[in-house]
Amino acid sequence: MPVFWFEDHEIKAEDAETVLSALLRNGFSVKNGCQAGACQSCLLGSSKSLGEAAQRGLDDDLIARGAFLSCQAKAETVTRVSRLADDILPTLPAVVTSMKRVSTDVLLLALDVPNWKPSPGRFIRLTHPNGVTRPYSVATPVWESNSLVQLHVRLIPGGELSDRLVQTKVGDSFTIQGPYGKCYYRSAKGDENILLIGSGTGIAPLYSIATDALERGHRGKINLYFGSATSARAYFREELDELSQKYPNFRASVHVDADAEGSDLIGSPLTAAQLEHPNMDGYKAYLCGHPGLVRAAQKRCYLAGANLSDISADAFEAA
Amino acid sequence: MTLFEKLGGSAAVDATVDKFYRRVLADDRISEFFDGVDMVQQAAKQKAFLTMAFGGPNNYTAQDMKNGHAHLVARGLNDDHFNAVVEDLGATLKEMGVSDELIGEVAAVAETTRESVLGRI
Repeated sequence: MPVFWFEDHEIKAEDAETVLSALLRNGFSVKNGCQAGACQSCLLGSSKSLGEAAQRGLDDDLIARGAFLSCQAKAETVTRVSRLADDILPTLPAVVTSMKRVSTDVLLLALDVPNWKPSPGRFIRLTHPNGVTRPYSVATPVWESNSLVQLHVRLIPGGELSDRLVQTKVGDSFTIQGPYGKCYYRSAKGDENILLIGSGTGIAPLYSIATDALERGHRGKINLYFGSATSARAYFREELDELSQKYPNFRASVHVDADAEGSDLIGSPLTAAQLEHPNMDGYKAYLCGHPGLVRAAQKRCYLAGANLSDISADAFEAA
Repeated sequence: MTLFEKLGGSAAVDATVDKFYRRVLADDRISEFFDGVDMVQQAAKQKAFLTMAFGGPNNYTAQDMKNGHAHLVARGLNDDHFNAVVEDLGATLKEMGVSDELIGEVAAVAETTRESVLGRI
């Protein structure tokens, strides 16, 4: 009779029984749906890698976190299982190395995190010594040193962490956890067209993803559509210009709601992307920033022919 | 050979789900029911639905179907919407070159969920 641990409880399973079935039979509440390995409602975490049918269809991020389909894994194959928590990654010390206010409401914050590996496009949770935690996407370009974490912080008046970050000084200590999220460069062939669409501090992960793809020799076109309220508030232009000069297959355009200056265009970055790319079959799309824009873009890119698995979306919800 | 095997099993489900969900989302008769839903989670549900409609393994009960759609029935989900989904499924399979005979079998499996989906059990 197989036995395994579910958090602090010893579970006695029946022969050939699944983990899910054993837990339900023992009176534990576990969310579940199709019980056929398709709906991914019943994910749990395992202390060891299970592979094969127990992880079929899960993305890399979930597999890295030890997730498995409890309706598919047989009880005899597991030792210790738990509910999936987001915070199984270690907490690392981070020291502020520079700060720069780049627009009325955006602060660029750089932190030194020893033994950190850059994770372009993904996000970390930043915790102030007083315990307040907020998620921020990593903007570090892929060629930067391994211990540098660059963040774009949108300053929200009255925001619990924003107000403290404004007063931050070089040398201040924070902690970070991560990386999290699914918004990162993946390409089997390296020649797909890539659309990067976003607004506000969404430029942080989009820029970072672009540097990752380009440095890895992506051959397809990479077009970035960046939305901002006004031209004055669109920041990071120099970095985008440098990237377009260095790589002929990269292009960025700025789209503003009002007060357009220079070559900036009035209108939505999504509308511009759609006009230039009416058929997105085979495309990869990365969408970061304002939740309304990200959700609309996810649907439009999908309806225009991109596979859902090729659309990575990260909506920035204000906490 | 079971219906699921004739259609190509879980690989066929994988190949169909994007095309089917795209057609459903673009269908003005039913798209409003999908406004504001998490598209990735919804695609996983569509996959579970297709696995079931293809005659594949599943453990959905009539009660699960009723509970899972109760919030949509409250928003007016009716036979016309159900018919639209079955029609979209048939059109997707036709586009993929599945025979009319097999499409009929899939539609018949989907049909068995009508009363529970619409909360009439």
